[in-house]
Amino acid sequence: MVKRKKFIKRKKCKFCVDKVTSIDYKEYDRLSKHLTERGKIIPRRITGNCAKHQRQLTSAIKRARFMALLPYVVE
Amino acid sequence: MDTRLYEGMFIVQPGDRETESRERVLEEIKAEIARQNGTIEKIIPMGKREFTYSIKRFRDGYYFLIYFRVAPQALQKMTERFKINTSILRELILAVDEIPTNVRIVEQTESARVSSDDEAPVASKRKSAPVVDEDDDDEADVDSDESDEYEDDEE
Repeated sequence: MVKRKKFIKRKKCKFCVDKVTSIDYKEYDRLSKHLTERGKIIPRRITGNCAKHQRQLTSAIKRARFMALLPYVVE
Repeated sequence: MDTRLYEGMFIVQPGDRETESRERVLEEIKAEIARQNGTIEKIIPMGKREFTYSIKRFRDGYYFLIYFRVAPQALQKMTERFKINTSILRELILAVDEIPTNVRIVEQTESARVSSDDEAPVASKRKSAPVVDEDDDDEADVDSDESDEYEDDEE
């Protein structure tokens, strides 16, 4: 077993950095960065979002999906 | 009666004579708000947009953003009537505290291009896996990462 020191970079919530108070579903170009190429919501453990903003993000994405601004699935 | 400020986004189906039917449906929406003693604060037409999936076999539609004040009790009656109207494909009404001074309307053609460019680095960050079982690989990657960390700690 090769011994290796792993450097883990602490991820920061993008929305906290930009001091976003509420995430708007109308700005769906921004939301699309939090979707996989298949259209799934990227989990918090990968993007490093904080819980508060992730909650807002998921509801915003779901609203944008309902209004056909974002896809439910990308085939 | 107390009123609240609401933000409604409506998708109107593209008709045969498009401008005419679009204006007519917009008038119907306005009339419905007026019927419930509501007042319209602001109307922002968002133009014709292509859907990301087809709604009732339509591939695109006209988007309108309407800010209005109405009593919360009247809202339900209003939405029921919007649902009956077949020209309105979708409506999403949310309570808002104030009308945003500058509503940023995402340009469609541009955003489609930008988002596809931006998605690439995200996808490449995750290990390139066969597309078919993306879901499982996603989970597996993270789990293996975590177990690596544990091993490092023990050493």
